[in-house]
Amino acid sequence: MKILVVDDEQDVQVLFEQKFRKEIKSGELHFVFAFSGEDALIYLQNNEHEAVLILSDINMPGMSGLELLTKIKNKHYQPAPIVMMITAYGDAENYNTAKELGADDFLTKPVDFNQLKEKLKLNT
Amino acid sequence: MVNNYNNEIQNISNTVALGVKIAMNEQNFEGVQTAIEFVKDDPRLQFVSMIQFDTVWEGANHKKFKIKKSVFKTVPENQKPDPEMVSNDSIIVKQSTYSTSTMSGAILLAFNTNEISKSNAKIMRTSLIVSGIILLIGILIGYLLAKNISTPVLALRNAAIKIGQGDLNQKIKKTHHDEIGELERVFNEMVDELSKARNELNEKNIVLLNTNNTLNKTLVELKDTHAQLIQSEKMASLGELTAGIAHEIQNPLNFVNNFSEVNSELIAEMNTEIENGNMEEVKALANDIMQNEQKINHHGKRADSIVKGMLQHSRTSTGIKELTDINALADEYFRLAYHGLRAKDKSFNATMKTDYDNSMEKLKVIPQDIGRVILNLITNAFYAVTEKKKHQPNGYDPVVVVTTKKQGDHVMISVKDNGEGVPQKVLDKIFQPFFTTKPTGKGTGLGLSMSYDIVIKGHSGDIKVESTEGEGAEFIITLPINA
Repeated sequence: MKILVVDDEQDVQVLFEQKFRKEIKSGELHFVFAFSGEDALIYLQNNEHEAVLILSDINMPGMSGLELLTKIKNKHYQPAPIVMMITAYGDAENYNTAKELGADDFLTKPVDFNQLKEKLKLNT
Repeated sequence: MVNNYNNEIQNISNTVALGVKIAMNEQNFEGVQTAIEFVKDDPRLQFVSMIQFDTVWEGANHKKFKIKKSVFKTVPENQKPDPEMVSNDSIIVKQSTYSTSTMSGAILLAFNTNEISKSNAKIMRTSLIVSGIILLIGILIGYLLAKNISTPVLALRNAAIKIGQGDLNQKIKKTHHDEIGELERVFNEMVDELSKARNELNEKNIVLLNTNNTLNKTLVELKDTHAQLIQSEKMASLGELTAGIAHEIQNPLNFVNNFSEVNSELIAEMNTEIENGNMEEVKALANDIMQNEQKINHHGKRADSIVKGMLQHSRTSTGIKELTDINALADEYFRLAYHGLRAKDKSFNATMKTDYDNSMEKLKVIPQDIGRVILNLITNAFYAVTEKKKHQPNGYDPVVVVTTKKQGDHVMISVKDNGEGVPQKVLDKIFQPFFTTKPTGKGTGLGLSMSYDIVIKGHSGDIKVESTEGEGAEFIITLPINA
């Protein structure tokens, strides 16, 4: 399964690659990274149908995660990718907004990788 | 007097000469004698001589002649006068000529000046006596004056001097019933009034002193309150930042936690590989662990610097100017303010634009103070665009731009927004303390006034605002490079 991770913190890439070391090795999961909402949209444009699951941070300079979510949902990619939002602010307001905009799931930072793995397994 | 005397002698001389002339014409020699003796009894007479003029020819042809004067007769006879004699200090000599058919000559009359000296002496005596009397009268008048005017006036003067030196217990004894007495009475009244006035003044001074002390106390309290207010303002602006700071700290802390967890997992994995003897894999794992350690260190430092920045912001200004990277300072506060607002208001988004002049050298400023000014301007700008977005949710893109630029001998820092702008009517009030357009509880009204003080008084710089109502505002700080 191909997963697109969107976060302005570049070290997220190193972290994910190590956390999912085994899954990556076994070819179970395949990760790509974008460091802004804009970059993510460009990637999706160029690699349609590839990303099955998108993990996006909300709080990013420029295009926010919620804006990216709106844009993805409006594009009606086929098949529709699963979008999970990650935020440092796990408050109700953000959660509700994300849900209203069509987010499939909602995670708070710091990311609980065991929980994330569970969720990813459910989607494979 | 001398003139009169001269005239008198001349007249007498003329009279004698006339008598001699008449007697000679009558050939009456007794008459001549009588005429000469006419003055014989005058006590002033020195002598009277009858001089004869004889014409003596010179040379054979009678072309030249001279007059020869000889004494014919003198009374008193013991005198032997010189016919050419003239007046001197003691004698006045007058001459009257006569001429008869038989003889021509002159009467030489000499009077001594004793008489005139005597009358002079008499005049001197008289004037001395008169002067003496006048002097005596003067002394008497002086004495009376002294007794009646000078003495009380002097007493008044002495009393006045003592009063001048602050002794108000001076009283003049009343000695007269005239104008002086009146003066003494008025003087005493004046001293009484002065004394009363001074007592009142002293009482008022005490009241004033008390008021002054109260005022001083109030001033100290006011200063304390002012210091507390400044601290409150700082804390309020820190409050604005709290969410931003939390976000900024949360991210690196997450990395620290995550990477250390990963490392635990990697070490466990490495142990397994060691037991399996798969040394290639062990090396790869060790490299990863090392890399992660560096990440942990990096993010730990990141969190550390954010906390330090926060402490620096809340700390009382050191007041010490340090070489500061203005671009870094502006960027730090720009990020904090942005994240702070984003964290508080999830719906908010604004485009942050920066245009930093990288040619700018470090500037000597008080970093906490200038940081506060920049933060204040940025939070104001974000507030302005947020307000506008609330009123105009569609078709409006909030933009805040922070610009730095080196301009000759000073540096310009500009914070520009496209928010509601500053209304013209409050433009000249915005730097006044406690002036705020924000709702109660949202602003202290001290941010811009403190910014003003920091820039103008603390850094000899300038702060000004350019605004078009409805279109945005730009706050421009200029700081001298060699301050």
